[in-house]
Amino acid sequence: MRALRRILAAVVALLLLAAAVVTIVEVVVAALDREPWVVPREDLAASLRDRTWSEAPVIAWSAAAALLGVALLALGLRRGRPAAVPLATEVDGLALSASRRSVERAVATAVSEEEGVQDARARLGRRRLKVRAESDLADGDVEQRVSRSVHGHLEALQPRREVAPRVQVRHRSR
Amino acid sequence: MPAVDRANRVLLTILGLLLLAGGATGLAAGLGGLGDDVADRAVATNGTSDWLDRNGWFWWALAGAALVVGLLALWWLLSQLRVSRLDRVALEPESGDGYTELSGGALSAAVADDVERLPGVRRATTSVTGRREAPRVGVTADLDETGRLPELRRLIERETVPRLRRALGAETPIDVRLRLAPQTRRRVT
Repeated sequence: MRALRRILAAVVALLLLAAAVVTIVEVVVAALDREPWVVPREDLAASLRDRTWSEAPVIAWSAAAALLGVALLALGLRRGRPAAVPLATEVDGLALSASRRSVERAVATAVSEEEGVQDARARLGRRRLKVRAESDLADGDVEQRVSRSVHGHLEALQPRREVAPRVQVRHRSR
Repeated sequence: MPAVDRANRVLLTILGLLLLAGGATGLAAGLGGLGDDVADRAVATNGTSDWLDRNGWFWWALAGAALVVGLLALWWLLSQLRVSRLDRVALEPESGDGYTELSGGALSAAVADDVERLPGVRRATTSVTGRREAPRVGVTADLDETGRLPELRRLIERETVPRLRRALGAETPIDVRLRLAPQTRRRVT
């Protein structure tokens, strides 16, 4: 999320910068009574005078602006999943963390190596670690083994805030 | 870089609100939400043109506003590209007179070397950011053995951090990010 936001922020900043440069140049060019640089100001003024608010192009532009606004708002307000889980430490000024992806991968690999597990996926949020495993054994022991493995990982990790594990095992019929 | 991300979130939210407000007003006007007379009115009336003709200062004010927005956009753009690495770091002054400086690169290399000696660490990368007198050290350590995590943690807390702080100052903030390795256990068959 953070990387996506960074790329889009750069794009938006570049567009704003371009718009600002065009505006300044056009104002100066108009003051000097020269031909417009990129914006055909007479045509633009004429079409704004001719078109009413209820005409389709005006409504379409308004809708586009509103939609873009909603998209930027969503991008600005969404927190996304954290890049790393803060880990407990007693040392002041030390921020110890584990990268989220590496934790997900480590848990998924460990779980998928449990007996009877074919495939496993882990997804770590701010407060929850969701693990989904697929098994071809139809016994309850698989759940227990997976659960033990996940708990073991969390115990070794000691996150600063409690992370609740949620394990789901799907049994595939052979 | 959390500070950049915070700025991005604030600025994107502000721009989003402005666009949404503008778009929603246009839609309301066009769809009759502000009354039928508004919907049938031209976007720019003759009154608007007359006012603009009489008030030439408006265009200069617009250019001034564009200058401010443009400078802000330039700063915003550059802050996406900037990496705030320090090239020099002041070491903890022993007395009032003079102090020692260390190159940021040398400090990074020394810290990375130190962390790579810890058990279970395959590779470490370091960055030194912040201000020269108040540096902030960031370490990313790639582990190859998740099983030794508790031991590794103890060593970081009791040895690596105190050693670094003896050189840089007792308050130096240190970020350590661990990247766990997927543990491949040989299955007994």
